[in-house]
Amino acid sequence: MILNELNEQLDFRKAMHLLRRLTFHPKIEQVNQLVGKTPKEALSIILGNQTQLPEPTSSMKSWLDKLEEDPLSNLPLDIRFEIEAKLKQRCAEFINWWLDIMSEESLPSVEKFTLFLLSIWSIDFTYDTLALIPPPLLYRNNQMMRKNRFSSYKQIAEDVTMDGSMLMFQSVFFSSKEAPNENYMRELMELFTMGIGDLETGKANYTEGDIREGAKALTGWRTVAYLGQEGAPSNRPFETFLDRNRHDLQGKKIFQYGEIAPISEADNNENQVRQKEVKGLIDILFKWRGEQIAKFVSDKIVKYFVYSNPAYSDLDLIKEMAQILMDNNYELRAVYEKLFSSEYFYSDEIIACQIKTPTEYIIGLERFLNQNFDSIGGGYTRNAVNSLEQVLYEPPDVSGWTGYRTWISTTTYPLRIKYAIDLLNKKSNVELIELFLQFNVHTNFNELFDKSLIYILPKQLSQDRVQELKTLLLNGIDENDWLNQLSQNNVKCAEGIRSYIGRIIVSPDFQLC
Amino acid sequence: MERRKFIKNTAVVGAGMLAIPNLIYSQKDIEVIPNEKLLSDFDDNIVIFIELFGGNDGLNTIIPAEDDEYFKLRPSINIPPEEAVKVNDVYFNRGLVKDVYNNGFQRMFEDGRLAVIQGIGYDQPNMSHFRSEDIWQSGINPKTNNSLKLLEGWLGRYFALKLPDFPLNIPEHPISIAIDGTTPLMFKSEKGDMGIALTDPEKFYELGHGLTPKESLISGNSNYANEFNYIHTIAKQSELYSNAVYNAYQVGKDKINATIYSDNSLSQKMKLISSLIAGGLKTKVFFLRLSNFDSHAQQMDAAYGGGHYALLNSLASAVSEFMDDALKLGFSERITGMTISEFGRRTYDNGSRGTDHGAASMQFLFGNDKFVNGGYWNNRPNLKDLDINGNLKYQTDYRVIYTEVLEKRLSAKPEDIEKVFGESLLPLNVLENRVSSVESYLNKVKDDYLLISPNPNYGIGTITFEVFRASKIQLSIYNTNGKLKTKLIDRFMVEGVYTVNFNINESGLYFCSLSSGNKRYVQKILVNR
Repeated sequence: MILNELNEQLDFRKAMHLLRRLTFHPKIEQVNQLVGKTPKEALSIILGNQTQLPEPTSSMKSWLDKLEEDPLSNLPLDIRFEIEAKLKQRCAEFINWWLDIMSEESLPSVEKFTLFLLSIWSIDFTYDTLALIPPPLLYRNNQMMRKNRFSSYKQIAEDVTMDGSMLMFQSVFFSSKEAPNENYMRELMELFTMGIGDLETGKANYTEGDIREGAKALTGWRTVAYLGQEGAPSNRPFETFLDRNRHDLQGKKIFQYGEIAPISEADNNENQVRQKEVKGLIDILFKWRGEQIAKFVSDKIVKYFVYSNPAYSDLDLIKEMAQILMDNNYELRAVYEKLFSSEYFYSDEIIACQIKTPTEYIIGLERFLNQNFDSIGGGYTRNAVNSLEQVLYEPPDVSGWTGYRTWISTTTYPLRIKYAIDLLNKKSNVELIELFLQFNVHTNFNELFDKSLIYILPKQLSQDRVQELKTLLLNGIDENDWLNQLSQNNVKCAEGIRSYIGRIIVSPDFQLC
Repeated sequence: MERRKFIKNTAVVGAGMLAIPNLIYSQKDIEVIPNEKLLSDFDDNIVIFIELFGGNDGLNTIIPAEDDEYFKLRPSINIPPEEAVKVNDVYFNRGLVKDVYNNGFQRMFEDGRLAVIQGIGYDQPNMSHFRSEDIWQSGINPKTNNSLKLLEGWLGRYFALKLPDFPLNIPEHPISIAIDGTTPLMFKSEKGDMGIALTDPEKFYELGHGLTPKESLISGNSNYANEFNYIHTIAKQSELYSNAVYNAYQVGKDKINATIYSDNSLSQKMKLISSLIAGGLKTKVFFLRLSNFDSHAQQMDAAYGGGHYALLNSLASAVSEFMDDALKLGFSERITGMTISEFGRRTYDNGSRGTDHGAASMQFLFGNDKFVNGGYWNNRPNLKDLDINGNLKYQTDYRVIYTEVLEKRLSAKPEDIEKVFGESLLPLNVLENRVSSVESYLNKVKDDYLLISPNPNYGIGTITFEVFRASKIQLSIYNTNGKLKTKLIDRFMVEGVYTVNFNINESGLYFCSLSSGNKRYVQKILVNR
């Protein structure tokens, strides 16, 4: 057993560790909310039971159900460009909306788990060189991921398979019984559920034949994506439907034993085909490769929440997590609860080893400094995340972001520093003082200083670094007088805070969480 | 929690391909290795890789326009002879020549500065872009375990071998540069990235100021220490290399013949490389990427133009312009360039004016005519002998070309090749050595370094050679695809004339290779059984 429960109350440092990994950096009050709770209790607060989904902005509501013509359908060029510009603008609006939610979120934490699913089940807005996925489909995809953040992975697989943006991105949209498209079926197995080979033995999980057969089961599915789309049902904008004439009725044989029986003409309708073939296909994958899937998903969870080093792997851990998934109908929540309340998760080898993703870093800066990048300019948050090479809904390819150390290069590291300094410079002296007043420590300077360090950096520092930072923060003011000066809004305090944070920003561990 | 080591060290491949980027840091700060030291290790060659990402369609690049089978397989996207450019007896896609500076690849091919190498590939080709690109960049034997993650590139592994104290001691100038957003897998090694990525030297410089961390490196081997030190290294490199790149760029940008370059982005990237070289940057390898070769649909329009044509046009323009600029600036002899692409495309078209993922394909190699044996290498693609998926079979292992570059441009010894690729490979001889080896350990016996008798033979014969000075000797026989057949000798030998027996049980052409230090001699063996 690796995942023994940690039976102690969380102190400020442990609560910070948990929240660093499960949110995009916590606000002070969120840490305080968890201090003194056991990990189990803390997790019920962090995971929560929220079923309500965030509201779109009123501007988004104006286009969320609005179909546009297919820009690639032989329209005059100026009209095509006009539609494309509209779609791009809407996509940006949608991403801004999501980033805002991340930035303002309180507990329970929703968005970190939503992004986890998207980081596996990639969707690409500009899905080949010319075509664009209509943003209302991206929005629906996003809400579906959010709704499913703790669901059974089986349910997730079924919902994503029927998701309009995925149908388009992975060419199921063009797949018919005459020409079944193998794109999605390959990725469903290779990238989304089980991987090419078993994590433990390396034994191939499927054959090219399985891909071909599975692809047949998914023929005929379309989504209402465009205005005036041929064969699309009316009044169902952005819904998935079956073009029954393009569906392959023959039986399909997946893996050695998994059979999908031939389907009759009478059953060739949306409900029956979804039940027998889509759900049927997913059932077969989980029935015959359930263990492989559970291991694959466990590995993804470890990489995303624990340590993203691709070479980091502990088969015992993976197997234990996989067993929890299998025992709980593949429900993610079950394995999250167990993993994040374990001694292992709080052990020294896990603390502070994770390189912040661009989203974690940029949103984290906003949450830590209580200052939005959009205060520098419109869409600045999104641009910052993009230029650090994590363009949401536009991963480099269907396998998603490579992550880990690829996030930090001689290109992106200097940009990371620049963004942090830009945001810090945006803070007025008074605002910096307010930031420190939040710590709510009125007894002595050292207590406040220690707390602020734990809040900003993920790991205890060596004594000489502590001393250097303390001197910067004090900025010539006496330790015993500092809190008093802070409460009087002394400019020297603000300057001290500024150089203290500025100094931390250029430390390597500011990139870790 | 002491009980587990969390790091998996799967011993599936040799050459330490899964080794983890973990180092025990014992010194407090990073030191710089001066350029002079590196030059004496590597001399002044520069290698440029252009990745044609998405899978270049080799059959519509160099066209088998006299092969009826080609027209049968590709009813909708064939290019007839009259629509191609015939140079000697090779049909080039017009995009490689038309409207290209100096007649592009036609001129370079005629001058002997361009080699077309057919039939490059590997066993059991993988149809996934990701896996296949990773295979090309990592240089592994693709028959390895499917779940094996490819974390290192062949070039990264080689430089890691040559820079044993990296990243505690880093080269004064970046050892390799990707003109791109991120460093490619090819540069990655167990010790970290053997190179940097940048697109704009001025911006790179502006942002690089003051980034060198004031903190010391953290000792020990914890995950935290490893990541902290990794970031430390990148931060330090950011400042050091931003200065080096900027200084070179400022000197070089006014020296180059800027008007030669066209506007396309690949040409502009080559122009940047030229400025950096002209400005004195001692980088050994540059990497560029040209994307969108994944032409499942609309690869060619009815007028033989279209997406693929435009991409080839960019490629030929960028290369021709750069090589002419390099000639004028006097560094063309130092340059060797090659294209790589994760796979070719299916031999038959897919009905939507496109082609699906294929396997073996052709690559270009270019440079100065003194040191590149331009022309057509290997056999024409055999369209009647396809694999079960309808793909071309390969003739030469893709790593043979890398071996060529490593041995002849980056000072690799034959024994390094084994460490980098996990197996021994024989170069093709498309490249000529620029600098002759300083020390000689072998002597000629009669007229040659290698005496094979009889030749041709029935599979049994002797190989005679003379060791002139005691040294480590390798004697091996290779197949025509560049892969090792048998290793006869791999040990230290004292002076003397040696005769070794060989026994080959299959008819065919073989290559016998004798090497010592970084000298390698090759002789053909023809077996008729």
